[in-house]
Amino acid sequence: MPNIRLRPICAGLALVALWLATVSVRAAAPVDFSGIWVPVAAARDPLAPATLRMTDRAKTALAAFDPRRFDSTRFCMPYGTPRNTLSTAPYPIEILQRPERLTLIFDRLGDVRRIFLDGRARPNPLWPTWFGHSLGHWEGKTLVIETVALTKESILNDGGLPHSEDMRVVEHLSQSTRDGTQWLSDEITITDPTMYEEPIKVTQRFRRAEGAQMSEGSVLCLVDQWREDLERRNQTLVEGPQSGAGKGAQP
Amino acid sequence: MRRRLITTALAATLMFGLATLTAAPATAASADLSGVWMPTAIGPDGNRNRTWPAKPPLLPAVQAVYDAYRVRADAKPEEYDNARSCLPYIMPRPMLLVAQYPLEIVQTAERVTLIFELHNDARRIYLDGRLPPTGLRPTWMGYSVGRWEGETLVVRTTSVRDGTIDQPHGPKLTLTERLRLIQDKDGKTMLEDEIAVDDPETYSEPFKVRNYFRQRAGVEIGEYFCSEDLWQQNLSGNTSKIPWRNN
Repeated sequence: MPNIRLRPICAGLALVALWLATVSVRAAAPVDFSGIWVPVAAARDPLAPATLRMTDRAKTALAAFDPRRFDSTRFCMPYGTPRNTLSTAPYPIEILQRPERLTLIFDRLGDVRRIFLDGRARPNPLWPTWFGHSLGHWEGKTLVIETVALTKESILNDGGLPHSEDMRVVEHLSQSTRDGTQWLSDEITITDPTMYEEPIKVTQRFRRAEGAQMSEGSVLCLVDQWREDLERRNQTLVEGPQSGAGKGAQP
Repeated sequence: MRRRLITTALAATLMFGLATLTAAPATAASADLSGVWMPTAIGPDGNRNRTWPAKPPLLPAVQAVYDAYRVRADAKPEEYDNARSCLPYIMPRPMLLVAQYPLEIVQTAERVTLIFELHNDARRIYLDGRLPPTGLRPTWMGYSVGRWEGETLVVRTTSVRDGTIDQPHGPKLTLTERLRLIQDKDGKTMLEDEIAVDDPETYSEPFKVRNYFRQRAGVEIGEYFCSEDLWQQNLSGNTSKIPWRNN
């Protein structure tokens, strides 16, 4: 009875086909966000303090905000998440997408966000950091990202809106094409009951910048300070050996 | 009936196989270097690896200038070494570090990106066949284009700015790297970066250096910020070393 022998082979082949299907589905994400994106300024500031329902703790922190002291970027420290993604200043963001990871590199200060898509669990313990710990999964063509463990040393915007280390940031990232241009939409929901009585919802939009290249943005802040520091000490910039050698002059 | 099922299963298998094949980018990479890598001073043979020659073939005129520079720089490294001011390392220095700061490689279609935990520096290698743009302002990482030769990623870097302390070079510097996965003597995977240094205005002849990296699967890159000390001093109210807090 050849048919009886065929049955397991048949089932085996079907399983192989199913496995291949799973593998190729997992390998091919529904959308590829890879590329360089530039934020588009919003018509109104969604983080205007007057529109937010702040707790007393948040009000106190905001009233005491002194950018010279509490804005990390003045010290060439990162913007941090979600401030890096919330900023509408026209500095590009580069996205590198792999099946198991989405990496965001910000031109300003070189902030790097890593979003794990491989189904891993959060490490325990999880210490607060500037970019937090981000896990993502696909819901259709939307990438849903949840970020926790964000240091309270970071703020939400240039105005110094505070957050606590219990803040949870959920993002819905999706792509669309309109008028021949590709747009990236990041619907951000910030939940932080210690500071805000209701979740803050912001939709940030980005335009694809075809052919653009990133600068060495992380450097600029530091170069300025280095130069200032050298000038303060009344010194010239460091001269490499070749700056003299190449021109036949002693440095 | 069963035959038809088998045929369907076979067809499905072939179709998915084909889909997987066609989904690969045009410049399909033959190796995946992605992951977290830790530099190591110990080479694949178990011996200590020297990442830069003790006596690189500097041109005599450059040697004299460099020797004088070295005396000044060694006396006051904080004034001559840009990295002491939290500035990025200058190529090829970031590839030659043996300190325990990991490097992450993110390989995507037509691009390989290296992210260094130290300073969060990102190095971009373009594999889409482009040539370096003309009139580039020299940068810390330079401009890198690459291609696959079998399982070896060959990267050519130009437009590197000067000012480096350990690896002197001028504007004509060309670095040609060969990055590949190798096995050490125990059969463990390592990443080898062989760098050919060519700079006719600085060196009498091209030479090669190598650095090695160990795979650190499961390790997540941490956050390193060079100016963290200054920031923490500021938060603790100790502002004596912060110029703009003392006005």
